[in-house]
Amino acid sequence: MATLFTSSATARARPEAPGVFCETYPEAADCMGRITECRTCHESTYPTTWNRFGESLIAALPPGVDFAHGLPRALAAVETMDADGDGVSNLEEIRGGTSPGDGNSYWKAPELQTAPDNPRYAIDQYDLAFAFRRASVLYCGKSPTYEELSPFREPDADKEALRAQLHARVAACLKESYWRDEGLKRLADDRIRPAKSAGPDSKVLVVNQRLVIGDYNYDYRLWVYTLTDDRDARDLLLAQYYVVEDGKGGVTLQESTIKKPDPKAFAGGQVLEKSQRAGMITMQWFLVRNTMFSALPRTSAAAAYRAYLGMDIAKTQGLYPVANEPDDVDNKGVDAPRCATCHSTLDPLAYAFAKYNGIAGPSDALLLLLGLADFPFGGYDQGRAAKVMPGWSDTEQQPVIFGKEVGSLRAWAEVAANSDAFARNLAMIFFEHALSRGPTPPEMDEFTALWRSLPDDGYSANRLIHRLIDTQAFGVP
Amino acid sequence: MSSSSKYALGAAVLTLALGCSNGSGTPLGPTGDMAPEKPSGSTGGKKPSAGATSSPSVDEPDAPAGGDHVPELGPPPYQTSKRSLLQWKRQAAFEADLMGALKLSREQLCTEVGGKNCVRDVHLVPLGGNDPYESGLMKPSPEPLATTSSVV
Repeated sequence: MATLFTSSATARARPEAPGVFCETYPEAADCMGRITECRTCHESTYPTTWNRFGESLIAALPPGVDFAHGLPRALAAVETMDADGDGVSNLEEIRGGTSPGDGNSYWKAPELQTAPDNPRYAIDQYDLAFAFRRASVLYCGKSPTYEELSPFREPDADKEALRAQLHARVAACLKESYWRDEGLKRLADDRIRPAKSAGPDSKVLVVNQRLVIGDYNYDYRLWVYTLTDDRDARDLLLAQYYVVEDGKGGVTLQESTIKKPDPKAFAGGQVLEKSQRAGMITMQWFLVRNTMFSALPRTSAAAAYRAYLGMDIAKTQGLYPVANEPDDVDNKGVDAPRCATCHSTLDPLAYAFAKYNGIAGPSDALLLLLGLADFPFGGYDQGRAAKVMPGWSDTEQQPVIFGKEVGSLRAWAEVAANSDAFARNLAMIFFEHALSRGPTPPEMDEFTALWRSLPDDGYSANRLIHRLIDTQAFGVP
Repeated sequence: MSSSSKYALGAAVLTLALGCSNGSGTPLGPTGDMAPEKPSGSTGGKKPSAGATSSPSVDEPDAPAGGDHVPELGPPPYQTSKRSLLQWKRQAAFEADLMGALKLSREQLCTEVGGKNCVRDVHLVPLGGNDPYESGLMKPSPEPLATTSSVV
């Protein structure tokens, strides 16, 4: 939906369109806790092509009216139409979260059944035995035993007592080793993206130094720590401490920097001062792995946006374009029309990361040789941006997230951690883990209630899981 | 162990791993979910809906002759799930349930290639796991692979 205009000959980027769309339909599934993506209307943003919904909007745009005012009128004009011919109106699809421009994306409620009741499952009702088995596999890593399940099969069982039993089992399992050491960690893999060859156990040598670019075990420990024991999950983006092993099988928190354990490795500790930290997105591993040699750390910004806010800019998700951006401060050509659609959002996001190193050499080789300096991998350098990008200006390169100007990566993380996008993404992580899919249109209301409950629950992942277990999506066979 | 008892044990393991029948021809998923006859609606709102499909009936003229064909069963005589919630019991629960059912420790359950754990090392991916550290596989397969049944 980034481009939308009346003639392909004059088509140009319209990255503001998702925002206008969501102002028009704040109750749309794709607008709650996020912002709709370009493919709502587009097949491609460059060269600009539209799907059938986009084409119907083009035809309905009022002539002589500027785009921002014309689009809501065009949307209203096509609401009752079925642009993609799948039998569901455009408005129903917008509200439900299916694509009004894709005939293969739709939702139709299954037909009512008239056959006798299923002898083993409470079809279309919350089935406590079913939920108990599912929860056991998901959070305990094993099925319930026959004895554990038997009370749930009793026809006259006290349902409230059984529900309490279900939650008690889950509460117990969320403290056990399967969930902490395995189940929960696997949910972090695609966010941390470890690699043994460059991690703390790397055996790769480069000029007699071990190729350790960071220790991702710090990242995993923080992930598990923040998402267990009713802690505030916003610490994923706000933690100013490191979670370290205490030598007795547990963990403890450390606020000071951490020296790399192997002097013959490039990195492997944590080098940032407390005021420069922002949870997972300032871990040495995260910064080095994503920024690497980049002048402007676009990959770090995009990875943070994707992993912790649930929006992938490469898929034109989460576009909040900033006026007069991208500035193309590193001369990569991103101000070309084909790039600007996404980079008008991405580059201002990335400015906040520009003073953090990726892979970097020592400022003084002599000090390195004397052991008085180290490789500043993942470190903070106030002058870095100006050094590696001659066009950089602290006043011109203003970091912006969700349309808000921020002064530092720490402030960036605070806006992110308190956003609906963060809450929605956190709920989606656990919803998809439980059901191997996202919510269907009939489940959107309870999914929205799920992530909106996070502030009241102190952003506790455990409480989120308990609420998830009580949803119809989880417990109805 | 006699060959018949081996087959019985094999059948039990396969049933435990891939789900079980409720005795009426309706497949049950590994976590007890009932397989839908024909999933309707989209999944997650962006994916294509599953269309109504059916396998060839032995009554159809094109059906090959021979004794290996099982007559197609009709729908079960009771309500079935339409929510498309069949889920795969992945490696950790698969291993734990086998250990529990067979009363074996992890080390006793299965080792291959000089002592490597069958579930967590050798056949991790077909059994639904992922290895981010060495293989760079950040996400597990969303559904069982062609090799899953042979690994089981």
